[in-house]
Amino acid sequence: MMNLRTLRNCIVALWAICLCAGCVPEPLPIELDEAESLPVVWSQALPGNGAIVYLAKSFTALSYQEGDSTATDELLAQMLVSNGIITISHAGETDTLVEITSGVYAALSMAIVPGDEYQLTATDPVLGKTVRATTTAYGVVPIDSVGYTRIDSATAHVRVHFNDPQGNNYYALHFYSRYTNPLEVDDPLAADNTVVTKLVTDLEFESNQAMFEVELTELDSDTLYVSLNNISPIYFDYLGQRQRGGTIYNQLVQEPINYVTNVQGGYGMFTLHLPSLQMLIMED
Amino acid sequence: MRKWTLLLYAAVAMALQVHAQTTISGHIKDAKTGEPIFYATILVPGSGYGATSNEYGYFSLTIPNDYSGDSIKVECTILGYPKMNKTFAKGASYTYEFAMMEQQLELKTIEIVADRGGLSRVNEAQMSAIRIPIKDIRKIPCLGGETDIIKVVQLMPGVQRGGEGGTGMFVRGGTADQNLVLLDEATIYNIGHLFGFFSVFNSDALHDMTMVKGAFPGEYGGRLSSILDIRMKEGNNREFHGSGGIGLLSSRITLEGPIEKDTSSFMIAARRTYIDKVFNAAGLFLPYYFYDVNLKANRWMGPKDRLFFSSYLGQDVLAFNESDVETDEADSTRTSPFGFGFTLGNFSNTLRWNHIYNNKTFSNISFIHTKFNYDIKGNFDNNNILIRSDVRDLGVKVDYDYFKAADHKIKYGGQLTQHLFKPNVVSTSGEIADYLKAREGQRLASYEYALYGSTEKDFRAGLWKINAGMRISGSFVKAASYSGIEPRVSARYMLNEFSSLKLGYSRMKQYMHLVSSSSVALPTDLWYPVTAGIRPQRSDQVVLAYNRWFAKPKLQFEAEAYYKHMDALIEYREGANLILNDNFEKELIQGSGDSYGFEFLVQRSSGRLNGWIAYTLSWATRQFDQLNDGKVFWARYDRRHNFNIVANYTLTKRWDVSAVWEYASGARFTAQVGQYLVPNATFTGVDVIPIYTERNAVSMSPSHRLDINFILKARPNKPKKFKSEWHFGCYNFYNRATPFRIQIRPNDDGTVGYHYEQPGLFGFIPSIAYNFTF
Repeated sequence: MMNLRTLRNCIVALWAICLCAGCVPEPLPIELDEAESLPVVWSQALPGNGAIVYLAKSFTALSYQEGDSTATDELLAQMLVSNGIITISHAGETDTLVEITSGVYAALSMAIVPGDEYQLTATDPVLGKTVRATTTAYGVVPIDSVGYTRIDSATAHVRVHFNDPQGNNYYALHFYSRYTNPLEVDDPLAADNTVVTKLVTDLEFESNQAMFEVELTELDSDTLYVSLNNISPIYFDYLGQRQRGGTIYNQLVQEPINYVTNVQGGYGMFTLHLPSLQMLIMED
Repeated sequence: MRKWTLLLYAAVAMALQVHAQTTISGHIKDAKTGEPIFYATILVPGSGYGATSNEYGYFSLTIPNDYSGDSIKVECTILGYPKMNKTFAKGASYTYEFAMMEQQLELKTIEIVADRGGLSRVNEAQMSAIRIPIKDIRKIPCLGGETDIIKVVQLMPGVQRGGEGGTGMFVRGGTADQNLVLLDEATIYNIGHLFGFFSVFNSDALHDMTMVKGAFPGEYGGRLSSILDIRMKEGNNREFHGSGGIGLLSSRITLEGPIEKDTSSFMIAARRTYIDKVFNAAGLFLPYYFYDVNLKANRWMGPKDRLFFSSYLGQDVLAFNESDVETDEADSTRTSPFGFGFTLGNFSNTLRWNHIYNNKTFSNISFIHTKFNYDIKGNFDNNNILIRSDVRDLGVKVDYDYFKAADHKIKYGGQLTQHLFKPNVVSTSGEIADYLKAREGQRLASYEYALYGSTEKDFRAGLWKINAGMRISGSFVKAASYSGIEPRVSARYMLNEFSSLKLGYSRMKQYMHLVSSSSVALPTDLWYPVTAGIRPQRSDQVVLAYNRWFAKPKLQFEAEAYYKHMDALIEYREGANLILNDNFEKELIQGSGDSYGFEFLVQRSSGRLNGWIAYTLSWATRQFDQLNDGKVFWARYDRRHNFNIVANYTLTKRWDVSAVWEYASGARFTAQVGQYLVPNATFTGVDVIPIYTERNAVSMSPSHRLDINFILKARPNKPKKFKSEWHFGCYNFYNRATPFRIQIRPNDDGTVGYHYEQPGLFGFIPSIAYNFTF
């Protein structure tokens, strides 16, 4: 009669044989129709009067993959569209934006009137495609005060007080550490995990004297910049999608999603909002 | 006065008529084991009178007094057994037990009388039903050499598998949670071990399996797409026997025998994987194992009463402890090692009471308890976390069979179940408790009920058979209650002696759902009831079927066309987080779905060469206002073609060979086909935004795979009680990938750039197993 040790050894040996004989199948190739290259628009209202619009184009999934650091700068340059024609119409007047550097266009004397509607058209001369987008301008919502409670050297409980204007409002609050001063960004491709973005609607406030609370962790400085942005609902949705789709778990197990856009015939987001900014030095 | 006299006269005449009838009732059993035989046909040849045994082997056949002849010859037939005859004198009631002797296959004289057995599929009003004898399932090659009932069901028409090797079933365009899997009437919520790669059912412990995927009879409900009704062995009530097997992944042992001969018996089966032990022996570390135990006992309490108790316990255990791993990098400053693990499992118990009221009325009352739970544990230094979710059912179910006449059967009953849900209970200690607060989670109780009645009657001398029924179901939960009527009807029309046309309609309602954000079975999947905000799912299905029995080659041919519309289907919002989310109800959305298709099955259940060929041509779509811009999209497992060949062939007296060839269109996938760059929200960097196709717009490449299994049996000329056989098999014989996703990879030919490719999970995997009986 076979004893247990012999039986175990037999099973281990059979496992070894089967593992050695087993094969991993070669992946099957597949050809997919790549997405057509379309214009990409992104915008930012400028303090004072004016706006900046970025014009780029989309590219194929096989051109670049995240983690391919060698391609990034070159790719960025290739994707920006020079000699584009961009106009913004508002209140019966049309401004044609001036290209200030490759792919970046500016309207430096355009009035940003909160609540007014603005129409953008952008043409990529190489692709021969024109996209259109419409947005409402949002004015500055000033930050009344920023309070904090220091929990430890890397953690703080922060409270942002502001007056919530009438109507339905959607807010994005950005919290920057000292080393990512938004006014001194010189490396646009540098990722910094000390920037935290929080999204909130005014439905969560009990009165128009709004207070937003957040616990910030992993702070590497006692200096904090807080930016409050009253944004359009579609941009709010876009940022929400980015946050939800950004976790590793969601990327692994969830269905991928196409991000919302208000650009007809292309991608990106045309939005005109003005941030308010406050600096805070947190003492222990 | 005259009126009362007439009434009395009529009553006496009816009583005399009833008395003049001949009723034969009893059980149909396997002569050797005493196990009941389900769905056997009992008929009076040439008369059109017949009956079928129910799921406890009970039958009742009433022949009216106008039957010509002094005696009645009754024939009992079932596939795999020679027919058995018995003659009864007219005008009396009989209780009789048909003890069927299983046909032993001999190469030169293979002749199982299957004509009538094959015809029963043609004769019955039921369509869209799958019945595969468990003994046939054991021959079919499966992944890792593990016999797997679910993998075999996936080879039948209308049942799509999910990912490769998984136990997910997608029946007629439905989702995986739309299948009610019953083991001795208890719901089994998690049907997969090892993340769903192996089913939780130990085939040695099983007696019979029936799957219904359309034209549902009244007694079935609670899920939209299918009911998989699995019955455990009762245990041999004549002799003590055992069986078992040693495979590469697990070993199993089953013992069965009489407690008191012909009166009571037991069966106990246990299985455990030992991949953890094998890895350990090889100097590797894999802290995972699963096990399951089946137990069943029954006892005749008298000629009319029988009690059954059955129980199932199955667990998956992952227990990683850093101290178990010998490593040079262990951090000596830690006060306790890092640990992580989970346990995931089902536990079910059923107590049943069969009672025969008279020779026409049979009842079964079941008390059912079932529990499905998962615990996820982790510890690091002095921090401990435990996340627990469970669902527990307590229920009672009553079924009555009334065999009114040979051509008329009535079935009615009801069911009440309390579901208790405890999702996401969190317990923490140590510093982690400051960040992740302990909480009891959201306790929910729901009460689900159903009442049903159905009648099956022959018309025009058996030309037509109609089964009509109604099921009234509902569910009470906190702040909401739902109820609904589920009409069921199926009709069969005999085209000739060997073929029939069938038409069926059924409505199904489902009052609980699986909240899962993945097609893979994860420990974090949650079952959740209907609530004030989440309505019950509903389906309406129409089936048209053609059945034909070819007596000469003993072939069963079935062709079915179906259309199913589903409402209030569950999905989660894009980007929803379901883990540790107490308010995940907010993340759920509801939409609709449609599926339609054609299914063909050619099946030979006896002979030296047996098996089946199944082909399914199907379409399945979904529509949710919040997904894919509200546009209709393909379901994830919308596979256009599915073609399976299953063949068992007796080579010699000692050698059998079985083969499965499977061809399936690729599953649907949402692929990345472009991208663009935009500044991030804080203008401190650039985001790469992917562009995907519409949801599930890409069909992956078709897959096909050949699995083979050779069986070497003991020498037949040496009759011994201990018999053994070897199984030598291989999965994916020609090592072709079955795509489960599309990924982008750098070119591997030296050129700069990327390409799409579709990896597969399992390649050529040989297996060997040793099985024995005594």
